[in-house]
Amino acid sequence: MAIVIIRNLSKNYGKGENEVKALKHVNLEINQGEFVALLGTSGSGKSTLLNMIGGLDVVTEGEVMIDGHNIAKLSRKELAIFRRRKIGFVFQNYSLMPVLNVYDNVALPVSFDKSRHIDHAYMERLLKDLKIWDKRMKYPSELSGGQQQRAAIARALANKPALILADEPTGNLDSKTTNDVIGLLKASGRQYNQTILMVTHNEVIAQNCDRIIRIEDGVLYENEKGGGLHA
Amino acid sequence: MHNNMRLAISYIKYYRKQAAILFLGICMSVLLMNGIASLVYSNQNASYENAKEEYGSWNYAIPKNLIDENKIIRSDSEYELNRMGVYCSAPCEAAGKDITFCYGDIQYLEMNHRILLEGAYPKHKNEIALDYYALHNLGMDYALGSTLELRGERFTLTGIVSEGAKTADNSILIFTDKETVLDMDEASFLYLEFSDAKRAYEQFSAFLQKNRISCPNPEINDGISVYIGAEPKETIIDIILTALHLDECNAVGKLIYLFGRLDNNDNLLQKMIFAVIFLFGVFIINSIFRVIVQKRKSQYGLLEVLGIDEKNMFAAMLMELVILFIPAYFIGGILGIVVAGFLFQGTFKAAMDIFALGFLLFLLFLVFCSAGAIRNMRKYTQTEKMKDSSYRKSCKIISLKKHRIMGTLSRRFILTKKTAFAGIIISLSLGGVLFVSSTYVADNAKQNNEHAMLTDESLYTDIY
Repeated sequence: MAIVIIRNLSKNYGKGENEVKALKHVNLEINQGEFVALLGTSGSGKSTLLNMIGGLDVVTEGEVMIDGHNIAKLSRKELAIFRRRKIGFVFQNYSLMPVLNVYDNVALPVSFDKSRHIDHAYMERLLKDLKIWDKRMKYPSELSGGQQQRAAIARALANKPALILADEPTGNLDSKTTNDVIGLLKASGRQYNQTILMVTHNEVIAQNCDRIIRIEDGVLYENEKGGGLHA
Repeated sequence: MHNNMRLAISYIKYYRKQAAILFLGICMSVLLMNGIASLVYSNQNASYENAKEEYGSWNYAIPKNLIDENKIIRSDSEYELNRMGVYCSAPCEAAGKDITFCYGDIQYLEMNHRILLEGAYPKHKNEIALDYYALHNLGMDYALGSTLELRGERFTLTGIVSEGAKTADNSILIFTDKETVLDMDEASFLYLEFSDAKRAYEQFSAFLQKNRISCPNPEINDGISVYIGAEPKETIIDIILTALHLDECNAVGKLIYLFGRLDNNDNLLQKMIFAVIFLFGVFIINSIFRVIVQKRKSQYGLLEVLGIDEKNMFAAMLMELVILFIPAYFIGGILGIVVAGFLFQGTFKAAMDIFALGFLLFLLFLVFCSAGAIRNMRKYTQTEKMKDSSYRKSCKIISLKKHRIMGTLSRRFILTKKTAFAGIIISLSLGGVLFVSSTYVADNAKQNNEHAMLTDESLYTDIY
């Protein structure tokens, strides 16, 4: 069952002679439980596509359907609730709230959801699995890059979302921590049947995923693992 | 609510410097507002006290024959009669001088500051009490027991009273006993002094209605009528129309009349000063808050990405402001009042109504401030917010039209953030107005104090 359906998606930045076409008529379907790598060079449009799927930017043309919802048609409030419950984000620069400690950062999306209570037992297991339980009282500025990224991943997983959007989550990490992070994402995806879309420019990391999608100049190319490209 | 509060406290604890600057900004604005408001209020109060000293504290006088004084209802929900005095007078001409035989009860004498300086107030027929002005003009000895012959009768001086408040009657007043005056062709009045808590006119109207008195032309104490609101309140439109129809005045004259009437009618000057200081405070707090929000934009963007909706972000922002505002307001307000108390030489009165009103208005402003910040962030997408692109840069090449690089640079600086530039200009203008207002208030306070001291010094002197 497709959890992400993108139809004829285009995104332009700027106007007139300054116009940049970041995405050109993109079509894509991602099934539930898939771990997909979005591979491309810098400026190819991979982060733009991820932002469009997460509803972080405004679509110029086309539509993005997630779990049956056209996100362009959701109101601000609906979109906030939708993101809170359905999508987990992991960013390259970790994007943790500097004013909150690790535990509060991880619990943040759940704590603002009135219909849900923080599952402290799950939180503890999550933080222990990610090996940052002993750092739960620390602030992001007191953690290493790897620990911050683990905290960011824990936050993305805290509300058990159906879709995890990871924008170069290993971009700032060393190879050992990179392997740990990828392993954690895969394990979580398997355990909770989560769909993971990970942006990367690293071919080796992409090879760990179920499916690789390449993007060049805003155009997608499907790449069967070990096989050739087709647009 | 609990989460918003926790987030707000986290922000305050983490960004201590930002919190301290905001706290100080609120403190200083409130200090200025309450300090100046208290100075203005004390100044106005001093003017009122001076006027009461000069013209007496009674508000209205009505003919005594309109009602039996013993049946008067002295208070109601709409009015409260502080004092009511009886005054009877009988003018006569003797020895080529305008003389008035009069009697005033203790309340009347108190309201008109007629203090018994020596001897006793007349109790029997042909006993009199005079002030030094009357003694001097009647050529009498300044000694109790001295006598005066008028209209074939001999009067004995039993008391000397102080000058008292100014009256419209310029004749020589001879205070005597009630019976003596009542035997003459006298006129009797009830002097009324209402509570200062409400406007006198509304209290007087309610008093007349409650006691079923019809008095179309009461005597008004003109010297204090502005302070007590003894005249019916005019609408702003009526005042403007009257000003416009002043044919004998030019535009400046009309403006002065308009301002004067509005000030008398509605305390315009005090309100304007308060409004300017409040606006100044608003600009200061808003400017600091805008800078803080700008610095945290990426974090607010992240909160939005994580699914925290605008309502929660607004609540967190507002709570942070309110947590800082409440102690800052009380500390700033009390400090302002204390400082003003030190500066004001005279009977100082804190403007507590401005303190309360300011609290509510600032609180309301904080709501708007937070809502404005949230609204302002709508201009950016989440990606823009998280990347912290502070503003959308103009792609226009200004130097194509301008040849001087300095002109281009200054234009860039000014036009990049138009609202910030406008804010600076308005803040500076308000600062200037504030400076002028403060100087005016300080000078006015000084003058009033000098008048008060002169009045106090001359109260019991015999220099005429």
